[in-house]
Amino acid sequence: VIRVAPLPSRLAWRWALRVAALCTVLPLFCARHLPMADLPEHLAVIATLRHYGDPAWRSQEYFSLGGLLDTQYWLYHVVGTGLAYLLGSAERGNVLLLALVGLAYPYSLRALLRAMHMDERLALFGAPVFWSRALTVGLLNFVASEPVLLFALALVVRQAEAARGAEPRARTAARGAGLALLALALFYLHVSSYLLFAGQAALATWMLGAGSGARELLRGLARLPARLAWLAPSAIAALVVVVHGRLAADSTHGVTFTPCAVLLGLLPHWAFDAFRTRVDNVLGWAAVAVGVVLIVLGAPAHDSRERRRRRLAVLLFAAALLSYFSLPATVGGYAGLLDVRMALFVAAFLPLLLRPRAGLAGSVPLAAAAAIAVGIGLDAAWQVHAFEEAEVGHFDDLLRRMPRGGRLLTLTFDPKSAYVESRPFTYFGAYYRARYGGMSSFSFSELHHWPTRYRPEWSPPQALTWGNPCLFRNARDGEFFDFVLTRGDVDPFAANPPGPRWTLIGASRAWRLYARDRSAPETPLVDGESDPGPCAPPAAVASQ
Amino acid sequence: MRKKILILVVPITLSMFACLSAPNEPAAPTSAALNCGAGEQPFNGACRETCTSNADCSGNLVCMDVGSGVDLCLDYQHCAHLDNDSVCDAVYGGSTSYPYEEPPPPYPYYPFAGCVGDAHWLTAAATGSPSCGQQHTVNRCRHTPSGCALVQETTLDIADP
Repeated sequence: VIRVAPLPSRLAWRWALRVAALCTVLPLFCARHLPMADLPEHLAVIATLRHYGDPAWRSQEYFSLGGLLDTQYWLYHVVGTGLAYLLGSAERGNVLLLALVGLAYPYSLRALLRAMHMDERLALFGAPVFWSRALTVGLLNFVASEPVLLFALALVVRQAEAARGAEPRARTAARGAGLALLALALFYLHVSSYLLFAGQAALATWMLGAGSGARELLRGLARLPARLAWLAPSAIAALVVVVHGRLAADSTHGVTFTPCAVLLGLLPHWAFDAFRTRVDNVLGWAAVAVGVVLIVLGAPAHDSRERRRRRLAVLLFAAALLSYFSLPATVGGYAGLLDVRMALFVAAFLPLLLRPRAGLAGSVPLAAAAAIAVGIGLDAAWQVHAFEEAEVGHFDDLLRRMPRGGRLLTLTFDPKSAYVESRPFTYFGAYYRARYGGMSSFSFSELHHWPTRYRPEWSPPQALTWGNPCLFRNARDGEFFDFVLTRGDVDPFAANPPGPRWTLIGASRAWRLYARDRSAPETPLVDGESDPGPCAPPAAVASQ
Repeated sequence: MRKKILILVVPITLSMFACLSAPNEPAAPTSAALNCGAGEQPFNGACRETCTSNADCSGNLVCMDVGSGVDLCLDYQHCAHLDNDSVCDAVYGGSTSYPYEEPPPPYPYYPFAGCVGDAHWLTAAATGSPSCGQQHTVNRCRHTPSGCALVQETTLDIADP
């Protein structure tokens, strides 16, 4: 039963959703550098793919590419590369892609709500989910998978309901083909989202496709594999990548889990605490409070079909919650944050539990939800703008007129920000690779699942530093790189460490850029002494 | 029909905004951009004269400290340094917040993501010859054995573009 509001009212809610969606993506256009920790690495991959055949960028010389059967992690970058061709740069292509993803957040939720015959005004809750911690950490593939999952689930619900009706076979087959493509897209965006989707799709197909009663449900269970046949292509792709691809390459570190109590404490942080301001916390908790009000004042179910859909809604939310608490924290030596990132889906599926009543009892809380969505977007816009003005400053001046195809090492002694909770400067050096080619280290290109990987002959001397600047040793690393970019109050060359000499060629606020001085003789290593590195306490430096 | 128009108009509008807000790829340097003449040094994309006082600089340029003991003739107006932290928060990043933790912990990782202050950049008019390079005593939020705490340190201001 869909309760249809009068036309003026429907129009008002549609406009509220449009405004909320636009406010959600507004912050993406408020700065040249967005405060997302991994973002520069994604830009670098997109630029490398775009210029792979360009000798000046040296992309092909430094990197090899992962194919469809090597890695599950390339759809975001391939689409970004296509948009970069259209708009002229990886940064422009990525902003457009992120904006389309951001707009899709509330509209994909609306598609699911419509499919489940629920109040589509609840889609207003979908907009603020975009500005979660997963976005400011820069888990862009994962963030992009959320609307794909919701759209796909909406199709699954329609498919399951159609199985009980008399829909033309051609339409069911076409929907199945669409679902197969969406499932493949989900797998090539993020494995965690794909696994959650597979479980939820099975639940929805089973619950909505079977009749009522225990016997009917059991019969439905037996029919489930046939009804989920569209999952086969993506399941085969997953199997191939897991067994033969790069996923199998790292088996050194095993799997780790986070205690549930710790995860419980982190849930609100990862759901809505993206910025250091208290505003997003207050608005996030306000959204939770509105949700509680809508649950308490919830409208009763009218018939058995509605009750069945409600049960499914609870199960879909429970599956998201289960994924948050049960997925491992790390797999292997490189896949991390696998559990906490699922907070995004906990927030995304929460609106399915809400049942707004007709009249003011439903409209007032939903109007509050609209105001909260707009507030979160505007606050994010302000924070993004302030981050650019105060902390990024004239960073681009440092890189201006740099030669193409060089090798840059970034030592981020101070990766923190006064504006965002994540560490947005950790991989900032990758902006060099995004604009001028070459390589920038530390890079995810050292990781097995990354679509661009260093060729063995061009791997940096020290592997898997994760950007820890204290591991830098001039004699070992200096020879490999042409430039060193630092951030923070540390001059790694102040003590004249053994190895190449460096000249300061750029500075802006916390940033310093050094070029290797090939004309000056190297500082020799004194017998019996070692380089303590840039983070050694002053006493160690003095005794050197 | 309206839906089809929207599907066309929205990406085109977003593309325009993307082109306005995000940079295009820089043009390739026409020559060896970092090669400068005698008495010059490349700095922030241009060759700048080295100096010891304002008298060494021509025109409206001022001799400024750019850090690492280097003074250059620049047309910048300000010196800047990172001011005091007034708060010191322990930030929790996630069960595996590495590489966002400080210091990077052993594997497996713990949710503590670091100590974060609220210092902002303070600019002041460039005066002196050379200008900038002044030492400032500031409070910094640091990870100490007793947790996150404000610690007194010194920092130098440098030329601010």
